[in-house]
Amino acid sequence: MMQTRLRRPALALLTTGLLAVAVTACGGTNTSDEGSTTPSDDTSSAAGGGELNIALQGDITTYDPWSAQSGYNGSLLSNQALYDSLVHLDASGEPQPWLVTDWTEADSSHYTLTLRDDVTFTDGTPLDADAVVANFEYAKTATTPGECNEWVAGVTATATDATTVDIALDKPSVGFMTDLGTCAGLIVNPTAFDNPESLSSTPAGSGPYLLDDTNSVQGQVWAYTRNPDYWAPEAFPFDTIKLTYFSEATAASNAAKAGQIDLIQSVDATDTSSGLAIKLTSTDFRGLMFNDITGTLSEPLADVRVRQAMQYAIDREAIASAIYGDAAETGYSTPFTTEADGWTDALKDTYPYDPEKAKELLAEAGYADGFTVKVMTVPFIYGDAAQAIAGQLAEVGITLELSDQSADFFQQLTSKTWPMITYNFSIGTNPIHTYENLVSPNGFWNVMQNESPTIEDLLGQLDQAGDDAARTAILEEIAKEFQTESWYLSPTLVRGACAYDDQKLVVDSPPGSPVPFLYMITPA
Amino acid sequence: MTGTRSPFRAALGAMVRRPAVVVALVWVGLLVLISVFPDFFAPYDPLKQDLSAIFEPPSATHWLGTDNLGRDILSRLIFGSTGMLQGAVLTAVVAVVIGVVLGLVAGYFGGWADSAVSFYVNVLLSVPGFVIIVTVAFISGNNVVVIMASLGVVFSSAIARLVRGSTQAARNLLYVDSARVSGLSTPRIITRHVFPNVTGPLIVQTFLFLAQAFLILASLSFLGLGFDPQSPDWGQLVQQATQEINDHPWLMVPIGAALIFTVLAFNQLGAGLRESLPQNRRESMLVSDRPRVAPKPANLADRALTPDGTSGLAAPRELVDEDLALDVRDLTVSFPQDAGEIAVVDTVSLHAKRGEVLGLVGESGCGKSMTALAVLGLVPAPGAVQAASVSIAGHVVSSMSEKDRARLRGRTIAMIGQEPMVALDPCFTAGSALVEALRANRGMSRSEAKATALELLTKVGIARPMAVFQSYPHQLSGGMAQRVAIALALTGKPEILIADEPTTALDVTIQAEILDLLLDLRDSEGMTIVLVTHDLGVLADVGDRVAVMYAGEIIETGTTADVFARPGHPYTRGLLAAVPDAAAEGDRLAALPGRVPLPRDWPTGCRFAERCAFRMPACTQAPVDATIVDAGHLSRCLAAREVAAISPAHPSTEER
Amino acid sequence: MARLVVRRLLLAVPTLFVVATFSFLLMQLVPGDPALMILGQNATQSQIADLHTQLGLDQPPMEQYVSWLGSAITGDLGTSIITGRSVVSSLSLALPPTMSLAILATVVSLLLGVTFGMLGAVKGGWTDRAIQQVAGVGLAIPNFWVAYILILVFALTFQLFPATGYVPINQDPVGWLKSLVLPVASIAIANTCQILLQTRASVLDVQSRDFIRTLQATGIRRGAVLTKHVLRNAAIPVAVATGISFIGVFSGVVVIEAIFNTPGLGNLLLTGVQGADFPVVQGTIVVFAILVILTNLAVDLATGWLDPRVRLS
Ligand code: SF4
Repeated sequence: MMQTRLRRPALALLTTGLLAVAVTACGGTNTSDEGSTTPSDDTSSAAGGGELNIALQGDITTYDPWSAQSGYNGSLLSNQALYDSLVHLDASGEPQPWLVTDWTEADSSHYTLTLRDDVTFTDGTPLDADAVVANFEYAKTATTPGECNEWVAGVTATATDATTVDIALDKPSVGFMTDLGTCAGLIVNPTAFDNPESLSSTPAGSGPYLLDDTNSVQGQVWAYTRNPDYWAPEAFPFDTIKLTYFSEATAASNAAKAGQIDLIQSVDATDTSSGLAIKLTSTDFRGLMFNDITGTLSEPLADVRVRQAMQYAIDREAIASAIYGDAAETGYSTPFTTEADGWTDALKDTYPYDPEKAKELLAEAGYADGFTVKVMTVPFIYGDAAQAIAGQLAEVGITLELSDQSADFFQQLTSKTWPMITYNFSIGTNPIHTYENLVSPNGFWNVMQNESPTIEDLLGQLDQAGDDAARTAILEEIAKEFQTESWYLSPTLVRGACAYDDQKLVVDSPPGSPVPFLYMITPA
Repeated sequence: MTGTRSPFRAALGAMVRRPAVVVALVWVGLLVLISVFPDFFAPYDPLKQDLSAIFEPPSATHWLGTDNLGRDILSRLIFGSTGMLQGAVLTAVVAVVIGVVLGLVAGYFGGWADSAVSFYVNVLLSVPGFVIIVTVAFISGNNVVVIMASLGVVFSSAIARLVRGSTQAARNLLYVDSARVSGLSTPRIITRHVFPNVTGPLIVQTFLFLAQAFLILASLSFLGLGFDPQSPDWGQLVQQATQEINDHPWLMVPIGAALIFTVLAFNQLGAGLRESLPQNRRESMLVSDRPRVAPKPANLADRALTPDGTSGLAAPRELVDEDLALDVRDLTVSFPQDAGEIAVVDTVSLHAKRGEVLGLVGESGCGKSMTALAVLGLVPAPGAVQAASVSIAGHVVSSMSEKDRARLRGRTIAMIGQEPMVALDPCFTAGSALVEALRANRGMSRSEAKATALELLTKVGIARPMAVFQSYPHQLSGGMAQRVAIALALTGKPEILIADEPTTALDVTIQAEILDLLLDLRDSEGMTIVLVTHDLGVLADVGDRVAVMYAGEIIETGTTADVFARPGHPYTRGLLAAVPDAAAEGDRLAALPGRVPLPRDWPTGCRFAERCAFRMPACTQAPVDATIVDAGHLSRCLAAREVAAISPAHPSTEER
Repeated sequence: MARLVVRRLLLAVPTLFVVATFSFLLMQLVPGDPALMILGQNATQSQIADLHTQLGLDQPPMEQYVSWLGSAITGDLGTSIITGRSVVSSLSLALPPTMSLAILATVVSLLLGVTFGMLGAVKGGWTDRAIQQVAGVGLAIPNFWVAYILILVFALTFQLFPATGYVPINQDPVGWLKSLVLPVASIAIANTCQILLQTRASVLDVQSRDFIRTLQATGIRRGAVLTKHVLRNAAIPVAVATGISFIGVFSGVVVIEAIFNTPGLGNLLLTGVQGADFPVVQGTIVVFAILVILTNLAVDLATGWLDPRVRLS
């Protein structure tokens, strides 16, 4: 339905952040300490062959994984082709052996990794423990740090022998092994670190593919051919891969319809215009946010009754289905999905569609005649839904002045001049990081550093929770509290998606990743 | 031609007679109306949404269906027209204001100011406009006012150039005439001399800008720029339509139609007006290969076209058996006009003997040039020619096909025009024009043709034929160009040469030389020359016989000596009195008060009656026939003999 | 003529300077901090400061301007702040597709426009009116809709040409041509109409000039008058119109290249503008200006060649 015409860098960056939130969270509740299957058991038939044509929504600007922003641009796919990853993730987000054949977790701050001993970089340099240590060191010093660098920022790595790396983290991280399956585990030839400039334009890896320079054009199309020396070619069934950057979503759809493209890395879940099958990926939490809880910019918003009145004034089901059709579930103004731990169906009934009630609350708060509030929107994130919400609030006398600020989104966001904004973030498989992020004064989306002592307190109690039941009880409290405080006016949960030719491909992605992983794309 | 109306008003009048323009006007009028009163026309609030009725096809409740939020598309279209039109008008206003001011400054002050404005225009012309507009749209955060104003600045260069040119022309004119117009203030000079000339083109440009502005806004919207996402806006409708093209193609139809019609309408208005402007309403000189058959002209009274030609006041019987080079009988030329078929040449008969110089005289607009063209067969479309007969050197051309007739041109009959500078193709040298004509008319080889061309150039009195041979027309002086034109006319060794005001555009000294040349040629080549002129004085020296035309008909004909000595028509008398060396220039108007009636206003009776001092009641009652003054001297005047009896009007002819 | 060219070239220097300055000023107005765009939400103050230093953004605008202009004169337009690529190399990659589009579109529009414009003017009557009306509609349809319709019909339904993309000519000349057919057609439709109307108007105008009468009176055949003299004289304004429509392509590519994912200058500009990538935008505007100036020069040369009044003055 609604296609994104302009996928601006702002959005690409925005959603990279989501990958961070989401994938860091991966495996948070599961501790993988066994992991002994060999890679060849993992992968299906090795004989695939052929070419894989993928449409990207972002430019690949560097071949240095430690400087790369991932998200909707093509860097992750490109880097997964050019570099080997310490571990692979499976479709449920669990880390699986790859370069690391085995690992132990002494506690969530101390890991020991055992590496394969038969891998070399394309120039013949062995991929050994020293190389891994050098990568973690380089990650800390990269001038333009990549998106995943912060996940290994606290790593002190030591090579105890050629195939063993001891890792100490400065703070516990239960999802650390999962992180190593994302952009934080791609190992670069350490000889390239002497010249980061050159690394940015010339890959130096040990991955399954080599960059095909003659058929690649910077900023347009990137071609990859098999690395003849790769140790596990069966895990990557395609002989050649071509990534093409499309700045126009419709162009990508048309290319797919004309058979030029097998997979569009990222589409709106409702967008079937390409004629391809849709694979839902991450879950995005979208809506309007009350930035100005303290009422410094818009006095009425300080009154929780006003915020609640606005919740009653919107018809959630209608908005979700009208704007996003099947690709959205109704959201309930609390950052909890219906599958999340802590969700109770009672949450659905907190704010039923009740304009009369909304008017009453407004009258109680002294705004019977309504008021006007400025809303910063980014049309391609939530433009239509924001208009729908505005239309319904108009019925109870509240005027939303929507203002498109896509040109300087970040600047405006941090300017603290907007009482309300549209927002979009992924939930991830460990929502607790999301909740923390939302109420933390440093959280990205907590733009005006609002404080919720109640929720922070409840989040603190989670650590002390004895068992799952107690934990769930606390989470239920949190969910309710989010709703009561009414920081979000969020009628929708939207799924991210990619589109692929299901006659030709099987595609999967780890939970929380907005894009599929290269080794999860296999012939049908 | 247009009487009291200004040329621009006339153009407007002509423009609104085009059906396409009428449709365009209606559409634009409607657009303006709904954009001013959207509340009155729109069935719904454009923001009123109904999430249970999204993307509905057209229905009785929603004539154009609903959009993604269930809003009424017709209402959004209507409300959106306001902003769109305002934006486009803003663009046009900014462009015109900046352009006019800069153009006036540059044109009026010249020098440094002119250079600065030229540079401004140059810079603007050096960047693709849309590139700047996209950048501005992004920078301004989709501020439509800023975007449209910037577009206006981009467009202003075209206006500045236009106004600059016109102002410069007016200023040059003013310097020449400064003595006469001193005392006029600058603003008055500008309003009097500049604006009348530029108003038409300016309005044409404005319409084209409006169309452009709509298209550019649409393109911006396609890119997601330049519109408010919430308010009803054509840009938003464009973007939504393109986004939903696969799932809801219908959305494309209303906004697409509205946009295309609007652009088309503005373009139509611009083009319609441009083509109606006097400077662009020139007729094709290219003669059609299938002449039009015209109905009977509406401005002619019923008068029997007598085949013997007497009513046409032409060749009295006694002359017909002679060896006539040119024999035209009852020639009528007419053009279709709004009032119907209108004759501009009315039943004219003429004849000229071999080696004779026949003068065809009259004020401009009397039809003398058209008569000459009709003889050549070069009446521009959509003119139509009817004649009892036209014979040229024995060939009866009136019954010939255009193709056969074309073969006579150049070889049997040739012509020289009044503006030598524009009579030659500016893209070719005099030499190549001559060579082309010689090859066509005499079938010569290239080298033969060149040699002959040089000979011809020598023959027409050019001292350095080689230099002229290699020159382009713009490098020649007027006299030189006329000599080349004469040489060109001689390439086919014609028996008859029609010289249409051959000396009017030339300096006085050159005039005499050219006339002498023509007479020499008549003598050496034995050519018959038809000298078309408004100046009787010219004929006094060179003409054997004279035919005087007035309002499409010949009113007096006879030998030059007879006509000059005893003019039998008050008009001829007046003309003779107005011959420059006879009277001071100021007396000219006194001698002939009033003006020639337009063809559509020709009266039934004597066409000169309104200006005639001898008028009597009978003059205006019926068409006036010829009266014989002397043998071979006829006049179309009821008082011909009386007029002829009065003492000569012209002192110099008295001496003869 | 030589003097005219020299004068034009000399004038090009200050013009380019003003365009460059203007594009620099324009980009100063871009809201947002490029460093924030690059580093994203996790940027620390010191990273931002480092990046500012790296990009030279900590310098006062005047110094940034001087240093940019200084490098620009030596042919160095800086590096993209988003991709880190050299702007000159990005531009040189983007130039061939755009020039291919512009040249092909112009050749096609010129051939069709002159043919049908001449036809309308000479035939007149019903043919002329029909041609005029079609041309009017052709000018009124936004190019992006034309592009969509062409894609729908020729790429998706009949699969005759690729829906998107560009194949370099040295890689595969046939593929190059096929990849350009639809974008060229999208641009050429409006340009054809423009040239057509100009041709028609010029032919009519030339036909109304006195020398046409002289030629006929001199005995030159109608056919020769049309093909030799009318066409030759009408060619002068048509050359100017062709130049204008060639320049118009540079505006059209911003939209058309996005639709066909053609990696040309338009696409480069658009992504540059969206990313507030000021070196890229400045560089692209300067290159566009150079192209326009060269086009105008070419038009001057063409009119000079066609028109002796220009050539010999
Ligand atoms: S006919 Fe009568 S009105 Fe006409 S010119 Fe002779 S006198 Fe005058």
